[in-house]
Order: sequence, then structure tokens, then C-alpha cells
Amino acid sequence: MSTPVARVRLVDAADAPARTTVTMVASVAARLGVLPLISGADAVGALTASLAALGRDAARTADGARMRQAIDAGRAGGNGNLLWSTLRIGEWSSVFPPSPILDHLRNDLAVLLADDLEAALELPPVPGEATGASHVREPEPVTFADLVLGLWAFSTEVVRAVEVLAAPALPPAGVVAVSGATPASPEGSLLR
Amino acid sequence: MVRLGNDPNQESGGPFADLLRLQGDFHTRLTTETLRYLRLLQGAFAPATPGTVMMPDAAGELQASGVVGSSVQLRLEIENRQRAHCVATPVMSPLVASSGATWFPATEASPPSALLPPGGVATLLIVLPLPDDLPAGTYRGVLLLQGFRNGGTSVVVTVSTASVNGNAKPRRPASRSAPAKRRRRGGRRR
Repeated sequence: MSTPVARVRLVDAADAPARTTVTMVASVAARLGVLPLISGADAVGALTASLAALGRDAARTADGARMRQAIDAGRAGGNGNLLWSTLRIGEWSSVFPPSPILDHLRNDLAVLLADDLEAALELPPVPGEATGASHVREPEPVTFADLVLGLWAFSTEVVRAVEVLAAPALPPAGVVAVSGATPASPEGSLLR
Repeated sequence: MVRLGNDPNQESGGPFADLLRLQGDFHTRLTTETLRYLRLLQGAFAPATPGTVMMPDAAGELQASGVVGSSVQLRLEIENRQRAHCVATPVMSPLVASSGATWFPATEASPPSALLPPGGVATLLIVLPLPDDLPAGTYRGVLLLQGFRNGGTSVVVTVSTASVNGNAKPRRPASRSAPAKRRRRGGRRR
């Protein structure tokens, strides 16, 4: 039996700057530049809302839905909801518009792998574009389970991304290094 | 003179107390809405993030069929047309049959994530084991790439049950009257 094949293309979003090293560096710089202008509470609140938005998206997948069901059914879910309502965490964090934190992660990783980073850094700083009122995601109610699921989805993506980054030069587990013997240099397109 | 007491059981102080309560509610609401507006304004001035969109081919539907207890395989070819590296992680949505059964597949992707250089192409193999208790039918869902804006590839999995002589034969979904029938026959649950 033949395996069905589907083809997809990854392209730049039409309503955002193209993914180039220059624009991604500008995005990192702009995020860092905003930090001194906002309070710690705003930063934590925005991060909480963003992780919860990711959790809501993840709950639409098969694995995420199972995970969400387990969180809701367990004691941790009950206690978390109790803390959430008593300390009014949900009420506080539900006013922040979420930002695309997985795009941030992917872009930051791409900057690490860019072969033209030095040239991009030598250019005059590119002013980062603003999101614009029409593209701001409306704040949504943030629940405890949303946040936990978002943390799970985000950390899973981080682990996978770091493993993929390290894969070309990762020596096999259980290797014994003998004194005096120089191990063969790993080769790959990601290595200089 | 208006007297405002601390005792909640005390009768309200008449129209002035109502006026004060209304005034208090108004200011609370005004503060909340102003804060909400300022947050949205803050979001509008936040730096824009370069993003990725997944664009499936026109005839991009994945169709597979299998017998319960076995597994089906799907293959996804991803081409990165951006000028930067991109990490892609496939995820499946729940699959729903017309009978109303919802299947949460345990997907095994190989590799679990792919790192695509600019212009690079990667092929991901996604295996969906068909559980023994999965009712026969046609299940529809979407294959997504985690965190990408929009997009997804439709997936249609036709599940059948194997009969004794080896021919595939559709199995009726389990009905709710099965325990009642068992009770009528005098059967007991262990």
C-alpha cells in the first residue's frame, strides 16, 4: 500500500515583515527595546496571556486535547483553578493582548543559524514595524489550564528545536574518549 | 446629612446611597475599560513579528485506509520558501467520523521536528496506529504544523474491521444498548 503524500510550502506572512536576518534582528532588538518602557507586571502579564493563547491553540490538537482533559481532571487542575480565582490571576492576565511567542522562538533560532548575521548587524539599525491596531489579538479569558498547556507546548517546542540544532554535531551517547586520540570533526551545513 | 454605616444589614441610606453606588460602579467600569483600551494600544505599538504561513498544495488532501489494530502512514513534504531557517513540528487534530465518534490519534512523527534551511525540503512520516476499539468509518481531521499561522492539510482516514476470512468488513459502532442486552442475557460484568 502506497503512503499518501501531501506537499506544503512555508511562505512569509503577507501582513508581517518578511523573515530575513535583518527583520528578525530588528524584531529581537525591538522586543528588548520595549522592556525598559514597561513594568515587570506588564511583562509577566503579557507573557502569561501569550502562553495561554498558545495553550488554547494546542488544545485543538489531539495530544493537546488529551493533555487538557487530564489537567482539568486531576487535583492539580482543581487546586490551580482555586488559586487562579482566589488570587484573581485570570482576571489580571486576561486584559493583555497575546503575542506570537512561537514565532519569536522560531525567529530567534533562525537568527542563530543565519550565515549573514555579521553583515546584518553591521547595517544601520532597522526600525521595527509596529503590529498595528488591526492585527492586535483581542485579549481572551486566561484560565489555569490554558497557561499550563501553553507552557507544555512551548517547552516541547524548545526541546525539539534545541535537539534539532544540536543534531548535526551531537556525538552518540556512550562514547568513550581516549586520551591522545582526537575525535573526528563533525561535518554539516550548520557548522562553520 | 447622609449616614453611611458599615453594617451590611443596615438599610441603605436612600437615594444618595444609590447615587454613590452608581457613581462607584461607573468609575470602576470606566477604569476597567480605559485599562483595556490602553492594553490594546500597547499591543498595537508592539513590534511586529515576522511570521510563517503554511500553504498546502491545491490537491493536498491526505487519504489513507486501514484495518483496526494496524496503522496508517501519512507523508508530508515541506518546502521552505523563506529566506531563513524554519523549524516545523507536525501535529494532528482530533479526527471525527460522521457517526459522531471522535478519535484522538496517538501520532508518531519521524522526525518529530524538521529544521529546514532556506529553499530546503523535508519529508515527515506520520504514523497513526488504529486502536482495536476504533469504530469503523471515515474519519476527517487536519494535519497542522505547530504554531504556524493559518493553513493545514485535510486528512481522511477510512477505518474498517477485518472479518474472519480476512476480508475487510465495516463494523457497526458500539451501541449504548449493549450493556442492557448483556443484562437481559443474564451476563455479569467482572
